[in-house]
Amino acid sequence: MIPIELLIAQTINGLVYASILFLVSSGLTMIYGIMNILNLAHGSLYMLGAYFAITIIMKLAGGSPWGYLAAFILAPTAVMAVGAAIEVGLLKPIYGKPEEYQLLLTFGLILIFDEVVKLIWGPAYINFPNPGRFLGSIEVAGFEFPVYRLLLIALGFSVAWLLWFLLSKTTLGKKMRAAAADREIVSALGVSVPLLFTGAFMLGSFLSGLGGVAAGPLYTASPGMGIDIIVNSFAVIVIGGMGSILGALVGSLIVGLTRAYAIVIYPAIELALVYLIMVIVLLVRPVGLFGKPEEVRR
Amino acid sequence: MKPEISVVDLRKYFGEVKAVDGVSLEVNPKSIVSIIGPNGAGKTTLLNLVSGLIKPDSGRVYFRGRDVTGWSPAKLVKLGLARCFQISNVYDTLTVLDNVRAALHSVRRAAFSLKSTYYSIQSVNEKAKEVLELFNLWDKREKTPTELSHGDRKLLDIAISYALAPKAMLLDEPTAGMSIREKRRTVDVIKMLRDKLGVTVMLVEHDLDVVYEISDEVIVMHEGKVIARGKPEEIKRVQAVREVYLGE
Amino acid sequence: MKAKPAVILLCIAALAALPKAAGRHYTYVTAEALLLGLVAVSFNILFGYTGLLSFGHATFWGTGAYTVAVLMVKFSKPFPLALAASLLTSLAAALAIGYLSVRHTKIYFAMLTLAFGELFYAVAVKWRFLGGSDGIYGIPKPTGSLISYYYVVLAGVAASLAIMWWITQTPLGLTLRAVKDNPMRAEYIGISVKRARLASFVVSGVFAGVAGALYAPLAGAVSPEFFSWTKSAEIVFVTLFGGAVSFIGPTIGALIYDYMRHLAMGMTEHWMLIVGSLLVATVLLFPQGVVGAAQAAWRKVRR
Repeated sequence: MIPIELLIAQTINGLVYASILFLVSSGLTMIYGIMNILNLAHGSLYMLGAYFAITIIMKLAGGSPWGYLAAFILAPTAVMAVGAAIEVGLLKPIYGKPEEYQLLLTFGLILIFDEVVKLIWGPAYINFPNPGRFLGSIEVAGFEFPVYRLLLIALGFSVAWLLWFLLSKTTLGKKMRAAAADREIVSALGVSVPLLFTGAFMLGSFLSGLGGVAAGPLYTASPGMGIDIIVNSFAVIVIGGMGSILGALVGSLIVGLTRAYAIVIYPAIELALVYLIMVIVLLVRPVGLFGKPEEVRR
Repeated sequence: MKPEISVVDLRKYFGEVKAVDGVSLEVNPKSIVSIIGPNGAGKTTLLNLVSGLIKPDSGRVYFRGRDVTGWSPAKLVKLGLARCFQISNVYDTLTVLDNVRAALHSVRRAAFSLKSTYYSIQSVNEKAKEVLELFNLWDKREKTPTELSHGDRKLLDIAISYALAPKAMLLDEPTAGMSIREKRRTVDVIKMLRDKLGVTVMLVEHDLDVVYEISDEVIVMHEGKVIARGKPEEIKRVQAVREVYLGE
Repeated sequence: MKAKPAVILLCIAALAALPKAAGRHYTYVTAEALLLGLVAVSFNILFGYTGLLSFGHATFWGTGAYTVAVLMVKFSKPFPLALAASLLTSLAAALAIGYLSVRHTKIYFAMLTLAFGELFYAVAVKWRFLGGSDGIYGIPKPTGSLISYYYVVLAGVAASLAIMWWITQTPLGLTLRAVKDNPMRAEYIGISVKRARLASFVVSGVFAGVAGALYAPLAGAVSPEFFSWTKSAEIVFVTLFGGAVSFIGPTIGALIYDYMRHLAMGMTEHWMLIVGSLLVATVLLFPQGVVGAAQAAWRKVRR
């Protein structure tokens, strides 16, 4: 039997990882849902978030608590700017071309970003202290809960709620979803679809960068972290259903918790298990748990 | 006479929209049956249901006496049911000749063959020539469909389906967007399918002149239901048809 | 495009004469490039001919290479037996992964194949029997010397390309092009699109396995990186760069790429930056690749 302490610790770890996965995969799935673009370099934006945070926290703020606070705002904003440049400069020219092109182009971006990170920050893993030391932990029923981790879990769920609110309760969100359904009708209504696309892409980039800032101090930063998270995010959105925010949340929880438990029960199959779940979901329900089946009309 | 195609109480709803709502009909062998009706009447959905592209919510489809409800298009083709599309559905990157060859390989169960090159099978080449000559496309065999006129593309679509040696063909708006001359040619082709080649034809068409000229029977659909059926001259006289269809 | 026998014979003769003229290093580089070319052509059966973009094609390259490594190093079996076994293992892997993947297309297909590649990678890293993250080394060259093994590689690549070329010329080849061009029409001429895609996947996977199997003794070692997404990316890249529009395009891409890599690696360690930029530029500026661009230029000149 697994001791209860370990079980609780792994549940917390699993939820933290799920939170970070959600920050990344919600943007990925939203961009796909609205723009029909699968940005393979979405994980690279997460990586950039982590590295920007390193520079802000360690170089500019000397490791002070304010550095962390600044990083959580500035790093995702910088990533958002990078995202805007990608969408406007590289993706706009290939809208309407075969889907393979966007996959190949964003694949090229992964290679570029990995090398750029190696050029600027070096190829080695960078360990930087996580802000947990400023926040301490709280005790509930005899168990210690690190505050930083609890905050990250809260962040994940808050973002989930905010996204749901944005997409289903605000006019902007309704326009975005309408754009996903029918571009021509939306532009006929006087909404600028290109602007909407850029906006959605920037929001997704911001969230991915935010995930990177949160993850950097926890898991160390390395040039391979982008591809690691993107592959896991694929699993998440495939399990949850592409284009569905709720699906991304549930998928993140499934993947996050599965990995956390598997690593203490049988570490060798930790990663394999995630792909196994993904394959099973695809076989039983190809559109994912919360995806909408498409049907040929008329 | 046993009907070649029969449809019994077929239903297909898309959410609130009752695209096909309890349609029953029969198509006799070697006859031409046209389905008319305003846009959104459910005509194309009906063709999609009969040809296996989508599955009905309820009801049955029979083809040559067999219950084929829910069969895939590929399986239906093997039983002798071919179909053409509203927007001509051909292989744009293959030559006209290869468009027909691919169909001939398939119907000869040689689509996966590795025994010879695809362009050196004598019997396929002879049959391809015969089909293309029948549709006046032999001279254009080395062109790709993108280089053809709209009318020729639609003819190629029909030629591909005809190469499958079908017992019945479903045509979706065969004359849409055609010039008067192209329409004339297509009308002759469809008549030829029935009269010389013995193919049963079920088609959806907007041009009433075409419909009245070629059809043995006309079926009028409105909001997913059949509201009238009969010989062309009978349909011309039905007041209800004029109301829904011509807006009179 | 019809093959010109004289050009082909000339190429083979030039490649056969190469070790005499170019020395050991470039003999090695050429052998490596030829195998990369082979795996890229096999990938292009799936991508260029059938319209399915796999991001996990290294799975089969790795499967072939590991099969040879395990049998030759751990069980001391002779190379011909190991090569034959690699045909079976890559066939089995391609059948299983293909069966699960071809029911999807486009993005789902790309992601599934990527996930399977990562799955194999994870297994190779974690499984001690396969050497873990160190991989397996000390794979002997079956013919003893590099030069003699180069001819084994050359023969293997030539034979594999010939078989794949034949496949593209058969009714199956036409069927695959039809499925790529218009899957719905293909279904409506009675072709089972799924079966056609699976056939393509298996052909593609098996020859990728052969390429990997031939590569293992050349490199002398295998590692989990053989399964990695970077290897898959490399395969996708050389195919697109060379030109997915022609049968031989990917090998041209592979030759240019591998020579450039060996030159550039001496100068910079950030080689992948160049690859990434070239990939982006290829997509934006000349999506038909080197061969496609050359063909277009040739047609202009002739007019």
